Amino acid sequence: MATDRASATGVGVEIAPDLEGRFNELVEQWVRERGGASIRVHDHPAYAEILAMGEAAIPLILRHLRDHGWHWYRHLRELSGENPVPAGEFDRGRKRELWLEWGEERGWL
Amino acid sequence: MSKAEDLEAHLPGLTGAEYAITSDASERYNCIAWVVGESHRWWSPLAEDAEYWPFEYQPEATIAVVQAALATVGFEACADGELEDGIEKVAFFADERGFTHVARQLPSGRWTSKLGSDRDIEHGLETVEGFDESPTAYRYGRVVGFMSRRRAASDG
Repeated sequence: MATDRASATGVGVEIAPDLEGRFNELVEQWVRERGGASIRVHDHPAYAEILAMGEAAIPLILRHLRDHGWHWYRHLRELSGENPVPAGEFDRGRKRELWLEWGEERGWL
Repeated sequence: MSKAEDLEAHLPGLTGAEYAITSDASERYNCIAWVVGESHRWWSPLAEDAEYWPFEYQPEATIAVVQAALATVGFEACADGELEDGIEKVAFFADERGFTHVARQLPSGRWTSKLGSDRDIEHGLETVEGFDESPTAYRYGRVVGFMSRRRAASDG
């Protein structure tokens, strides 16, 4: 397990530097190569590799969502098995808020 | 790399062409939203993109699927992208996998595009066409059809 949420309350989750470095590389590649896509946004190998990082990627994703946005909702749903966004909520700003609140409640942020 | 050079790396057809970057990048809306006049939500027929669609999500993003959605806001198929007084036109792009992009004609006859999660630009229609296999190319394919509707009175 890459993180210890219980011990990290209030100071953020500890993340292995190598994992964070690889995550940042993948995000940069994904944004650069699928940034122009309006559909099939997740159709990129970086998407699958981030998913393969498992639960350890959740705090990284939440930090990126907080600081930059991007298409993280599918990752968060698949990695967490949860979805704090009610059906019919299409506003990305509101979805972002709900996921960040979710991350804080779960101790991921 | 300047903002223009960055964009031309994604869309080589813009190099040397007349175009303007008209917004910052945004993940809030995409090209389909933009042509129907929205800038707050991401339209996609694919559940994997998990945003808004006026019908049930579809297994494929075909041109017909996107055209059916635009019909709900008054667009009908038309023959070409020639400028006509009082008429707003949209142009559909596709590659071998189907729909890739849609652009909206401005009252001037120029076209406006929201480039996925990237910026809005004003451009000539063919300048965003392309089949470049470079991983960084946006690769919208070519124009494959048009729709039109009466332009709103407030829109020139």
